[in-house]
Amino acid sequence: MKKIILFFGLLALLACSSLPKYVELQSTKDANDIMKRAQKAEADSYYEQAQHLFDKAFGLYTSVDNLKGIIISGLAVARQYYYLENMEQYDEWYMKMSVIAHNDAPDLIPLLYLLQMEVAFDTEEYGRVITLSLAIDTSQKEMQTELLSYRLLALLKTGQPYQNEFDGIKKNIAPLRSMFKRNKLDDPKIVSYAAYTLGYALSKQKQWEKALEFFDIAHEYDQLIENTSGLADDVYAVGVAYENLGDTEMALSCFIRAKDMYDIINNDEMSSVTEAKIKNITQ
Amino acid sequence: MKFKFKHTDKIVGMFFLVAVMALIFTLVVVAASKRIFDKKYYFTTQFVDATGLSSSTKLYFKGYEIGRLKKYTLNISNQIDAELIVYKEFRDKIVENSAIFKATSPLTGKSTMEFLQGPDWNKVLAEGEYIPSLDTPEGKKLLKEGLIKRSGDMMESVLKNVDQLLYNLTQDNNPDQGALFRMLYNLANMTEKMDVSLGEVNTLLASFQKDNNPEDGAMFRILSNVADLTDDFKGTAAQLDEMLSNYKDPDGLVVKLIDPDKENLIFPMRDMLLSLNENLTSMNKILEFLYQQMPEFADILAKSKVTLQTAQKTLEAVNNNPFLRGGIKDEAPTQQKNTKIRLMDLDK
Repeated sequence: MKKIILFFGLLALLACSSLPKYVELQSTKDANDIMKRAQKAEADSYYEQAQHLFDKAFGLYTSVDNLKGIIISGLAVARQYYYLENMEQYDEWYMKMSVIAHNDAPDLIPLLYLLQMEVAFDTEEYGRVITLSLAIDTSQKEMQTELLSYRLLALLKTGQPYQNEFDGIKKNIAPLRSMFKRNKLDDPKIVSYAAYTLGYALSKQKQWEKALEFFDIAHEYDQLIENTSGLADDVYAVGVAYENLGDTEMALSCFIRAKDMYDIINNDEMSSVTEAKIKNITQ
Repeated sequence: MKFKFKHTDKIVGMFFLVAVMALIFTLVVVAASKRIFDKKYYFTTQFVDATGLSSSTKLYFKGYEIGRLKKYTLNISNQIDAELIVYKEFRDKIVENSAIFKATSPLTGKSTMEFLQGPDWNKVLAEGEYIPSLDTPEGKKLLKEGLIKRSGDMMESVLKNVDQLLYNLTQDNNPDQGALFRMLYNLANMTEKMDVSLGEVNTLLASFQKDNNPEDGAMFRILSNVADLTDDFKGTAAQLDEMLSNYKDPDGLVVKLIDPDKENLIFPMRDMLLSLNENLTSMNKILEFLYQQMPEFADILAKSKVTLQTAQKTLEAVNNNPFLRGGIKDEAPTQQKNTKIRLMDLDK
């Protein structure tokens, strides 16, 4: 009798396992698509278009009550207003998102801080970056790594020790890579960003060989996610590392590739910097 | 207490008796339905072929089955000798000057026999006498003399009539066969006369085609005059054309007023128009090419749409399969939370 009950129980469990998963609403799919287009527009510096698209995605996420989408798209709208130097709208959107996050999604509050840190970093308020990063803590690996990265860079800029931050990021890289392989990362750019930050920190210590290892990691992951602007930076950084290691041939090759990529993404500033590097080596 | 049959033999005997009686009754009913016990009368007939005949071919009269074919054989003169059975109650219907009409269904290939009764119902034909069929000359003679009237199978009748019609159509000079043939006869005569008339018309037209023949009558004089008039008009039209072409020429007053040297406006404009013309030609070629490719593009798009729909259904089915669910990786989310600032002052 027990065996029969066990058998039927297993059968019921098996039947339950075949029940459909949560069906993603069409609005969410549409919103995700719009987010991708908006991010591309942002990467190409079309901020007005990006703002419009993020706003549209925000509307769609709101219609299906997707809190995570609401906050991410809402903060993205605020960021575009910052780029467009419309601080009034920036403040309005930031406050709106702040209210939603504090009331309904406290686990997404670090995103508010990250945006503030980004703005502070952009205005070279490194002290504020450090203060903000210390004011919030999160166990979520992605956001934690990003907070540590900003803090490390700010400490580095202000000439303060950053070994703890460096170790923290290094410790997080392995689990982040694992999550990347399992497609569990919300923001896959975080792996290459973390690796690049570590490489940057090591380059400041003139540890070029170690820096090169992290730049290679960053390059590998940027290739996987087709992050064109990140790829150009990685190749440039690898070139700088080779240049300092005395391998001018490899350095030249990297700079030539980097210049092509900067030209494609219309990054004139870095294109001219790379061109100067090429000229320097060839002379 | 044991249960025991006391009258087993009687019961078994009763069952056996009932069974035998049922069998006999059935046999009797079948025999009666087959008219085995009826008295039959025999007659003979003859057909030109045995197509569709069998020993069960029935003889009908006014829709009633009055008999059937008993046997048929091929005789020395390659005719079919047949023996007919007529049932007792219809014996009186077999009178002199009657005939048999064998109709073969074109669909089933089976034949039925229709009895065509003679005019004098009192002259009953003696048993064993010969009843001609319509295949034979005697039968056809009876039909022609109007002693019998053919009804028979509708399809067969139609076919026979068509056959007769086709025969008449192939015959010439038969106006006495009916309205249709009178019409055809008259039509044939008319076409002959028309042929002659057409020859005359042809001669007249040939005369029309000749030029300058006023001696042929008033009409030709009129035509000749009209031809002279049109010749004069041709000269006038040439002069008019020349005048218009002079008006069209830009190398006149306007050009002299606007651009006397032609270097400031006329020549640059001409060059520009030529370039524009070349561009338009190229554009036309491109558009033509695009237009030619349009159906293919449309076709490709339509096929792609269908393929994608099919693929979507397939993937949905795969995804819903309980054995595969969980085996498919989730789509990698690409929700970039924020812009990650990278510092590029690496070696400063």
